[in-house]
Amino acid sequence: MTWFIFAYFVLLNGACLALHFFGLLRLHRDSRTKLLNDMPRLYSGLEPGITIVLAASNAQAGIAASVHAMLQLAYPEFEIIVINDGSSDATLDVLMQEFALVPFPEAYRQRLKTSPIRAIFRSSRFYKLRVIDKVQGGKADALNAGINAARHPLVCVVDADSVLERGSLDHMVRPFLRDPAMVASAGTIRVLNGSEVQDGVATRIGLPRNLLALCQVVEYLRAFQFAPLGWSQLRAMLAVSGAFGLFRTEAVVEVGGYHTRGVGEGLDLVVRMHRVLRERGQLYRMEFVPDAICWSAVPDQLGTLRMQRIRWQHGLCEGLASHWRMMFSRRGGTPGWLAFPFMVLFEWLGPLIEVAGCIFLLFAAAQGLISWAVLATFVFLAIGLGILLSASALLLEEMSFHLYPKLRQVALLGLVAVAENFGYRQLNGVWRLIGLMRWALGRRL
Amino acid sequence: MSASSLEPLVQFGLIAGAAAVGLNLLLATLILALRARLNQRERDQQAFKAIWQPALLQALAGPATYVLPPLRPQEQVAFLELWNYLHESLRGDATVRLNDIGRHLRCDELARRLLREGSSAERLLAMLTLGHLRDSHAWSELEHVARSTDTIESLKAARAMIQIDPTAAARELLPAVLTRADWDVPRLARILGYAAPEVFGSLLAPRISDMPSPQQVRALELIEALHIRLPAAELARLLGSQLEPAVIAAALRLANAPQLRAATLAHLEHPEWRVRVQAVDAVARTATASDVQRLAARLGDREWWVRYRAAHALVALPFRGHQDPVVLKSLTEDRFGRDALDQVLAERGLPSHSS
Repeated sequence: MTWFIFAYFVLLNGACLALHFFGLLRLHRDSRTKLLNDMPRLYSGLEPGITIVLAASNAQAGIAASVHAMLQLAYPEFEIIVINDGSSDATLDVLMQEFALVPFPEAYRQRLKTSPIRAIFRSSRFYKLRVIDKVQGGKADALNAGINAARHPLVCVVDADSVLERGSLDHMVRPFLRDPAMVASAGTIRVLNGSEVQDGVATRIGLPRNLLALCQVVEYLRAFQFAPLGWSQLRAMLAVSGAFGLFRTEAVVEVGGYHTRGVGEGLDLVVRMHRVLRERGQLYRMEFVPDAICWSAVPDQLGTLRMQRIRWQHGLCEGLASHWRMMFSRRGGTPGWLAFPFMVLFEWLGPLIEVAGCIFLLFAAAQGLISWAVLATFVFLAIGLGILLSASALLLEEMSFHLYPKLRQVALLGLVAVAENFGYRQLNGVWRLIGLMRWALGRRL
Repeated sequence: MSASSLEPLVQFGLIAGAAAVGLNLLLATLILALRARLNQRERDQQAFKAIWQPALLQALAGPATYVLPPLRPQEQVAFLELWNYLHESLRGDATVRLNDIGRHLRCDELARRLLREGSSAERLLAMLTLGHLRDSHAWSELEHVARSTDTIESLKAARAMIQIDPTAAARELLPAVLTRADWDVPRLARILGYAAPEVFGSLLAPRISDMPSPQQVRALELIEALHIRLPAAELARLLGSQLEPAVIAAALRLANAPQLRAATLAHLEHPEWRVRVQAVDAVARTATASDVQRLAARLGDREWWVRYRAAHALVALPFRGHQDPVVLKSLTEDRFGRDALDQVLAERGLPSHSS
């Protein structure tokens, strides 16, 4: 048992480091075009149009700034659809006032089933903006309503509190231009806390002062930037963040849109796309785009973070359980034979093995079943590998984007990479375990 | 389980943990070294730009003779970056002047050397430079790169060739333009735009009927993007034949001559909705009063997009009386068709009821 626990930790960190290595290969490939990306950008007018879909529920505080920021995005052809998902606050009033909305008699197409639409509005000031007011049905349901109303071949899903960089759509669309088989591209999610935002645009990049948020900066680099980049390089990306993802509209509709039961709509959709398109034998691609950046505020309070992580784990369990038959399936390819088993072993069962393993070792040492030297060695190894993984993410960041310009900031992130191993990661493991248990017991969130 | 039986485990853990600590120290050193190098590079770049940016701008705006500071070997690549950035930002006489400066500073020689011996990023920079300088000495090298499987390099080489000699490049590149799926049409259209429309038009138009369908679609998309006039007879041939729906739809986007009316009208009933959408738009471009009923019939189409485009077409018709919403709505009994009309009237800021 002790050997198993040791081996599991080494295997987990080794696999994540391998993903970082594949991410490094991709960064190397992309680095040569940095110079071209810095040149003035010209459009041919043939770029595919994009519908930005923004689900808003009780978002009165930030919705106007978010929409204003989206209206400033640098892309030749896009529209914005905000879905007010049964907000009980003044979200709709804020939108009505800020954007001079007027009722719009849209010939709405219900290609994906959603809860009833109450009204559709159009801005009399910004012709690109429409607002759908609907009965509450959850984020997935709201996104489906937006997809139904989308008029462009590509649909971009964005969180209501996300801040997109001005050129982010341009970056996200490039894989679709390059490859007609592209069905989804995922952007990078970065921590917004600590940065200055003006009119919905991040004007100065900084680090948060809150320790929890700081830990998430390193965590996002490690888990949501360079690991997906590695999966993308292996053509086995199983998740596109709900905060910023671009999809081919028809592909989403063909697989039935977002599933409205449950909380893991983003993972479920992408895994379903893999499964359905592979079963059909259809050629398709999905790609992670590291330089398409979306800034997102992360929880800086323990209770909120706990709920978020429980929800994420619950969603992950739902998503994987719904597509269980993709694992090792005949047409599964890299997603079915590598990414899916990885997710099952390290993301789904991971919290159980990690928490149970730690408890077992403590219990065994206390009972004299193993020596305290073994326990100390395990702690030494687990922390050493944990730091290594974060350090590897910091190195990749330094090699590629270096968004944090001051050496002081890099040093602080280095310290956090060490500190997060003493409490933050363990807490995360426990929260994920709670999410797993709740899913297993069928408890609703 | 005894403590002694776990000794190999402790050994393994200690070795692996020590290796992790060692690697951590190595990574920390690398991060610091990279940051130091980055800071140094940024300082160098700032110092370079502080001298060269005003010098170049002054040379561009000033009298015919100009004095430039000496370009040190370690500044050559940075200079090419700045020079190309200005080239991509400016138009007209300023680019001619930039080329004079470039040749004066032997950027052509430098670019040719970088194309042969440089890193991947330097090769891209070299191709940009050679294209702007219209350097024909690099033609064969560029031709070779344009045939490579590397999408970015081959496209940059193709762009440089078109800038250097549009006619020769068009002849040379045409097969790749029509067949390379990795050369996306929007980027290709921007690149081909460096040549006069007739350069590619004269090559594409006579061949289009004999091309396989995917090439026909690409060719038609490029013809549209480059505003090339395809002879009506050629279009009529494409529209009149039993081709792939994608080809017919692409051809319909170009149809705007009265002599193509019969062919476009026939496609209003095409089984593929993507063709019907384009047929509605094509009919609307050359519509006569007799087409109103034909377009109104499409308001009852089973596909949303066809109803929507038909509504747009009808609302935009210039014939007397047809701007009246009541008249427009009387054209169809179909509820979905009326919804489409309501939406389009609202989009155009028109009332949906007669006042």
